[in-house]
Amino acid sequence: MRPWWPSEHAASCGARAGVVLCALGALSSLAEAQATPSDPASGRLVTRYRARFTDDESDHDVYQTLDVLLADPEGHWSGALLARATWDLDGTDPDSDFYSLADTYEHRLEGQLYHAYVDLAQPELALLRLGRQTLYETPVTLVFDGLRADLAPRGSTRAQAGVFAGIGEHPYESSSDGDAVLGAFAALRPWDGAELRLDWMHLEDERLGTEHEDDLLGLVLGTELGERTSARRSQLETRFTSLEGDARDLRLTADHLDPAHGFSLQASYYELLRTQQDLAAPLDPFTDTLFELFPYAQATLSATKDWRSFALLAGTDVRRVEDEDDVGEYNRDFERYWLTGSVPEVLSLALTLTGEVWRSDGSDYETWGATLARALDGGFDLALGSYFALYEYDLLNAEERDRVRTTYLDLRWKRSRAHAWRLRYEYEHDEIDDFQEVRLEYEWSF
Amino acid sequence: MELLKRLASSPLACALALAACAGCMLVDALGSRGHALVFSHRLHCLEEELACVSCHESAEVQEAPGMPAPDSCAVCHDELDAEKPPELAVAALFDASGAYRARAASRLEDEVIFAHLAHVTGVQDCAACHRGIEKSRAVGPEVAVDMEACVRCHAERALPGECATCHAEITPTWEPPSHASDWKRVHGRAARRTDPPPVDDCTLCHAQASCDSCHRVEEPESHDAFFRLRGHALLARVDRDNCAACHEPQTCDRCHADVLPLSHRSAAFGGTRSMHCLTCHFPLEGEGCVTCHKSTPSHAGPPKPDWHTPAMDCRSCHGSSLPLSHVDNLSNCNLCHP
Repeated sequence: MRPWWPSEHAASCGARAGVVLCALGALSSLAEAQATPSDPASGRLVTRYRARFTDDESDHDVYQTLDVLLADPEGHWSGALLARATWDLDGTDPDSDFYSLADTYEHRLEGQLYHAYVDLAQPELALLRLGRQTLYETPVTLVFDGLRADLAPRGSTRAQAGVFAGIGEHPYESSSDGDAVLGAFAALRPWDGAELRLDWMHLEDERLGTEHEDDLLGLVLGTELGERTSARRSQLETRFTSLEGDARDLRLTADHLDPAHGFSLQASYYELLRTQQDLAAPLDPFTDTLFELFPYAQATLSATKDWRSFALLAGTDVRRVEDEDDVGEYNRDFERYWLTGSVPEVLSLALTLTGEVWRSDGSDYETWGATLARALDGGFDLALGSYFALYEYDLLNAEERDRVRTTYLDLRWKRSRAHAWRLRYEYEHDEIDDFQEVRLEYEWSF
Repeated sequence: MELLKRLASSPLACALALAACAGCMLVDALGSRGHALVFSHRLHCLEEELACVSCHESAEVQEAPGMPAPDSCAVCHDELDAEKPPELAVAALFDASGAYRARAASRLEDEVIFAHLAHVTGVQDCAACHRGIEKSRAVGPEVAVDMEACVRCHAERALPGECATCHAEITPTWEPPSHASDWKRVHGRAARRTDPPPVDDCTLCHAQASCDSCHRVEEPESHDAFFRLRGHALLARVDRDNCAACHEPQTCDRCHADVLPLSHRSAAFGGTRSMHCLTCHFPLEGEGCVTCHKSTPSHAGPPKPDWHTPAMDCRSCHGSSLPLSHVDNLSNCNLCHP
């Protein structure tokens, strides 16, 4: 095996990245000295250099993430921006092991704008937001460029309504032509501790010449069970959606949280009621690539118990395709189990052991890993870990077993409230290749 | 029901569930020994109709909330407890120094900045903060005043609501107990609430940027080199919904327009005389031919002579008297040869 810093080329890329990191560190130190608590902008700037190596290839990238919250001192508006620039220091060709999404663009310096919006304060509105934004509350997550307006909750039932409209944003699509979104919601608390919400979403999506237009209705009813306290609460929730008038899916969840006793229990049941095919992108879970998603039911159960000196998390996840005739390469039954145990104090180290097993006819996956961590003086945190993954394929009856072992060392240094550094080295070994990765990251919080 | 039957028939799932239940019951049973505090507010407040200050005598004049002393109880209980065994007498509620053992149940964390007397004189209604305590049959964690009550009351009275108003150590970067263990996996349910109670309100500490930076920017640790090259295909086939938490369909097309899946790189795939894409990828609803054939020369010119019409039966000539240039995948020829 060659050393992880294998060539002059790599050294050159690393030097360029180092210059960027050092310059940012110096500039931000200066900025920290000038900062005052009343600054209308806060956030973080994360600069990351990543070098990756195999025996005969290397790849060097710099990522710059800017995450800013803005606030008008007089309270008339606030805003947020999240963007990332990727600088491919050495270029990558499609035959490289390191070719990835960021390399599919024409330029070595590319950017992604994840959100950029302004909230305008209006007395009758809980929210008036303009710009690129993400909706997480709706039945499907939606990213769009446009406007969202939510009325302030009113009355004893805290009745509320809202609308949104704009152009759907798909980060890896070359054109937003034909991508429109429109929707509304109404919500109230029918009784104390309960929430009832109705959503309507109209989604238009054009990709590679095919137009998709869908209307989705969603209904949510959630309620707490018993008297909730800060020490314990239990809740039930039902989510139902209908697509073009036909039932689409149903989700039932039950949660019991009892942090005072270190106990939590979560259960959920999900059923996809109709075949998913040829829908607008936010609704369509990869039909283009993986074909139809046939109706299935999935149940999940997980529990946590923390005894202070030892904590245990265990869970299971089971999916069954409704019609056995639909079971195939991309519609599978599976069972998944995971178990994590952690001991926060053993010989001054925190020990975590974790394992995950997926069982799916002909395509199984297992991981087992351990991490030892220790907090050091001076704001340092050190972690040493290793995990093993076993992928078992049955791809067109050509059975394959891939074993991957990864070992890593992770050092974090929180120099002050504003400055944090991270250095991570990772060595990954499988039956075909060895990979090494070095990541140096600097985060400036302002 | 079918799923539940199958779930119940899975030995590992049953064993896991039983072990979790038994373990927790055992630990809780062991852990609860010697900590049974049975003071009933219901008995004293509702049935005996005693006022709060009857027992909490100094609550209105001293900063300390004024927990009852043994002497206060003795006024009634000397007679009531005369024939009770010691463990059932009111004296069992106090430790050797005369301090009430239940204090820890409602005691605030040391870092909480709170003036009880100011609230007593300002609010003048114990039940405004201690909601439902009059119904409790035993003193436990549930009698503690929760943060929701504090936040709601502060909001109604236009009082400051920043973390630092009540907390000396808790800042927007502090993690509440609910965030322990598997919070990352289940946090979506809490985050999606339209009008959450204050203690569940993510916006108390987080901006929406927190969601986007994980769901749209950062790669999970599991996305190592092997996962990027091969492993993702297996997991996407098994549970594609997992991918949809962060990715959209274009993610697949964008990469695979340039890079053949590793599983497709053998001679059996892609050649005009071997297994054509349409054998599996049919019908081409979304990605179209260009996903694989961005610059295939054979597709640049007219796909068939002008005198061919869509109504013709292609297979009456091609594949029998005339050879096909690729294997017949039995689909409609006009889809690719308009």
